Amino acid sequence: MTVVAIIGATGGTGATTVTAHLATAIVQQNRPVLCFDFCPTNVLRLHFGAAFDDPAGFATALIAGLPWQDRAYASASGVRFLPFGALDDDAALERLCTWLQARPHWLRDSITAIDLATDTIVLCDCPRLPAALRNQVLAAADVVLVSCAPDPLSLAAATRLVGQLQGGAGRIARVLLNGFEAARKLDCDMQLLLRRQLASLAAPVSIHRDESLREALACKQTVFDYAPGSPAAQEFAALATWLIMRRDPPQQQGGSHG
Amino acid sequence: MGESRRPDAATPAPVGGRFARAWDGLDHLLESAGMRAQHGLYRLVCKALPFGVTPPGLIQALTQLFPHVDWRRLRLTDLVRIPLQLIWLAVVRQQAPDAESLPAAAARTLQARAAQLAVLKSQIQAHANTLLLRRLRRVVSGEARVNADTLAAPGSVPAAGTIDDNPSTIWPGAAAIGARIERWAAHPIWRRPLVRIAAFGIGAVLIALCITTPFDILPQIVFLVCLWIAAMLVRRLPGHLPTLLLIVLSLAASTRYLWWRLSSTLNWDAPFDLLWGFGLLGAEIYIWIVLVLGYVQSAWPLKRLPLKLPDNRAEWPSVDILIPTYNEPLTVVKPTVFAALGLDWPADKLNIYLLDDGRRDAFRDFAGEVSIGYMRREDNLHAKAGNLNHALARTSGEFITIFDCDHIPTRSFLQLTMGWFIGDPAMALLQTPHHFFSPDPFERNLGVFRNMPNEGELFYGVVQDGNDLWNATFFCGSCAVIRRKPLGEVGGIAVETVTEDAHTALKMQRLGYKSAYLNIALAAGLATESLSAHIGQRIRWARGMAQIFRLDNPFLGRGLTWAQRVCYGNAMMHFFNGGPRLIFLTAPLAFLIFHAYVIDAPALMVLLFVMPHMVHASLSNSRMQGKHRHSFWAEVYETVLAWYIVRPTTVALLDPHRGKFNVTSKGGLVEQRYFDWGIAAPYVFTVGLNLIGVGAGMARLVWGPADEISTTWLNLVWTFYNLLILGAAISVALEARQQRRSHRVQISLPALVRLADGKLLRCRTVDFSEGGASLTVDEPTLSASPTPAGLSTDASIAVSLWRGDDECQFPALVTAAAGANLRVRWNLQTQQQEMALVQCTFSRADAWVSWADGRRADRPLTGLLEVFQVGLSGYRRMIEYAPPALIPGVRLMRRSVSFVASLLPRNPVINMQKKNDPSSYIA
Repeated sequence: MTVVAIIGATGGTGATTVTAHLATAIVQQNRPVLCFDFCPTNVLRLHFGAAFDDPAGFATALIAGLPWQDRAYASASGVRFLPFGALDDDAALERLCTWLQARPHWLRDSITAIDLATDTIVLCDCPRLPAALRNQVLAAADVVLVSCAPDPLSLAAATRLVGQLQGGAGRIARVLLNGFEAARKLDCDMQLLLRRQLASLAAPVSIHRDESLREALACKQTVFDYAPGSPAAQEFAALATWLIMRRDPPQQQGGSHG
Repeated sequence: MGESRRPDAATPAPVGGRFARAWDGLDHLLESAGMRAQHGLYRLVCKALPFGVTPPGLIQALTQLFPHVDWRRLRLTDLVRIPLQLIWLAVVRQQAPDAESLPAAAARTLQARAAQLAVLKSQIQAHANTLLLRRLRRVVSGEARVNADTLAAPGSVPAAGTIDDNPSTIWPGAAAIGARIERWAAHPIWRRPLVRIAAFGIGAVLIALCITTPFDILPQIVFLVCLWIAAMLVRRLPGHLPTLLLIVLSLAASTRYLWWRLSSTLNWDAPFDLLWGFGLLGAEIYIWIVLVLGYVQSAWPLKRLPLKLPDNRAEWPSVDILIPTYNEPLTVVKPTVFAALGLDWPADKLNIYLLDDGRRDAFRDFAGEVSIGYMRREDNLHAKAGNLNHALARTSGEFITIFDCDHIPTRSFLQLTMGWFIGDPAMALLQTPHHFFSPDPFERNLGVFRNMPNEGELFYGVVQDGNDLWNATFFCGSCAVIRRKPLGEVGGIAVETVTEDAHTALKMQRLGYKSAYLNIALAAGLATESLSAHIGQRIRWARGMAQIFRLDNPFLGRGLTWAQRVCYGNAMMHFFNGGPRLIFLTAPLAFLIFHAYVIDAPALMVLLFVMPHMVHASLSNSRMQGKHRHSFWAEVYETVLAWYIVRPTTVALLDPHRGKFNVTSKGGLVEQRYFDWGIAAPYVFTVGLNLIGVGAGMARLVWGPADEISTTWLNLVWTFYNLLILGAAISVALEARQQRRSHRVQISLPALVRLADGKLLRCRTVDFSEGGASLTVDEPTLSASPTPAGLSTDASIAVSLWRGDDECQFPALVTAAAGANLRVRWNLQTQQQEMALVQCTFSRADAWVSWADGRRADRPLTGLLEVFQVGLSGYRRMIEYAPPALIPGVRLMRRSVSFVASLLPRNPVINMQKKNDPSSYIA
């Protein structure tokens, strides 16, 4: 079992979109997936076709003292996911944060406790704030993908974050360039920089900026259904393959990279 | 209706019943005569009746059965057409249109037979494997090894790839046998000098016996059959040693033929015959010499691999890229410069110079824009050689790389070639092949581009690789790296001859420097644009080689090994083939017209001696060169050139200082299809001579003495062969249109299309050129994704291609979109984009790797057939384009031929009706 956290380097880098598509890509490669939405915005579920006004989620269950496991859904393409849920107010979020702060390994322990198939990949859409939620996810993660927009600010934040995270024992952290546009000189330069000089920090693929990705969400779909001919579909598939290979390497390299 | 119905099931209508019954009798009759058939006439009856006897129905039926008769307006000549067609319909079987067509059926039957044969053959071969070969092998390996040792002797260059991957090895277990032969040959016993001398001696005695023993008809038949069987068994084995054995067999057969010619076919008592005979004999001796030298030259292609560069970049030497240009347009030169700028080499060790002998300001400005060196000089003395020497005096890099201005290098050029120079300080020159991405006039005019290896491929695929074994690769003017020091020692690029390249290499090799050949296409360019330009280029080469032969003969002088002399000598001798070829094209006329016995022997004996000579030479050459040359096509190439190189080579031999450098023009257009009568004239004339010969031969058959009939036939067959080769040569003179300024290169590369609305589509290129590209979308079927069909013409899009890992985006306009296919025209805005485009396409490291994929292997007989077909089409083309004023009879002939053709019966057009006729589904 592998826990993968996807976190945005700055706001609006598309971390939620990456989570949803990566999950679908992994399912398409016949690996079981469980998706956690840790963002209070509670929008990951929309990629999977959930009803807009459905307030249910694991966070609301935790606050209500109900079994959170009951709040899991399965998408049409076979992704099992847990929405965050619509909290009533900030106070509820604060209560949740306090509760989680007291149990820093709650996520890891809970995932271990539920009887998942051993090759399951658990994806967590990780918020940057509040810190309690973020730390909870990062503590549990074996792999962290930092979604980075092709702008200098985002790249600076992403490289710093990855630099911090890579120290952990056996943990892999990578910068994922999202929204790459070859016509823009700066995008090309940043990709070159990542590939040549920050090679140890970079994910193996970048995701192109593609209108199909936005349109797919508007249709409550992923690009795998909406535009299979788009490069994004191929790139997420490549990323999924890399992830699977990283976690169960053929024989040798035991995740000591980094 | 009724198409596939059997005659006995035919009772279509009351009236038809009588016809059918009447028909049955004839049907049985024909059937018993072996003509089981669905007859056209029967179908006429079946066809006509269902329409009723109404005039329109009848006419419709008749029109189908008599497609060449207009029933509404009958003409006098239809009196011939209709009965002929009736006979045809009655006698000749017509296939039902819904059944498979006759050729398809024949092909299927043939395939089934071939499959049976293949099984049988493999069984037989497996058997032969166990029995015959086990015995043969001992002899084979012994003899072959002797040759292998002599080949391995120079040892100056390490053999890179020694296993020959010949595709014709279909023998089950052949690989195992081949391996065993190799082991046998590698046995240490052959290293002992005594054993070697003994083996050589025994071999020499045996060969001498084979060559000189006179045979009568029967023993000669037995001898040639033995030789042939041996060759047939050996040619299926993989590896070098069987190749060498084939060469030995061929040498034995050819030398035996020549010996026989010299010893028993010259009639010294008939001076008139002897005079003609000497001409042919001279040509044959020339062929024999070139054959022998050629075998030495290309028996064992070295197949050198690149040598790795040192890891430390500081050890990489500095390189000057020289791009000479004279009158080529800037559009031709730009891609070469862009590609040179993209070469993978440390920037501080790479200097690019544009050497402009045309002194054009646009070129100077361009060089300034892209920051490369630019040189021009006051005069144009010594043309390209002088231009290069001028630059050599003003540059200082340790190495010089020369690209003709239209040869676009791939980015890996230097990294793949420079290793050998660092690894071997004596290495002075490394040549790579000249690859062309546009068709040469032969390929274009005959329509065989990329299906067939071209003339250059034989040279760069086999000859240069063979030279490399002997350390005798020579410089070809472009796509090569030269070390500055030895070049300085020989005084720069040679200026004494018009082929400065080969001469420079020869001079450096005389000083003991090494040369190498790397058979990887690392640069590509444009082929010559028209046949006359092509011939002009070859004339220059021929003249230059003859000049070197005269001024600096490789067989004489100091400093060369015997093998280097052979390789250089043969390269020059090759260009003297014009005279001998013309002799072969006219030799049979000596007998047919002048009744001169050029070969004083019975026709049967001539056949028995000449056949093994030709068959074995063809077999071993096909084996050695199969991938790079298709049998008999070389005949066509050489025949076209023969006439034109006779004079320059002869002149150059007599007075080597005459003649000047002419520039080969490239990148031009052929606006309209036309027949180049000027070029074809000598061949049309030779055809005329041969036709007279055929007439004379026919007369001889009818009125001549009976004992000359076989000789006449032999000469007639020879004349017909010559006529077909000449026809193929004439066929080349029809210049096909060449409209596009930039040539499309068909290569599949990943691409990305960005539509105006921000959506991306994954694509692959079908082809690309400097002007545009053709793309096909990966997954076009889904309705949600925008299909290219939805794109309108002139839509503005962007296409991404990759330069290594880096994505480059190019603005483009859609010119056509249909289904999954998209054709775009580049709409480049900046020089940066132009450069990136060249670097993403033409100068990719893998751009030319899979060029020859999917090409069929050489089969000598197929090659012969193809050449014959081309030969026939040559005559057709000649008649088509015959100027009426010159040959008034041609029009008349054409008209009368087409008139006679209009009378001939033809297949009825039955399937026309099938689609509308619902009953045909039931049948």
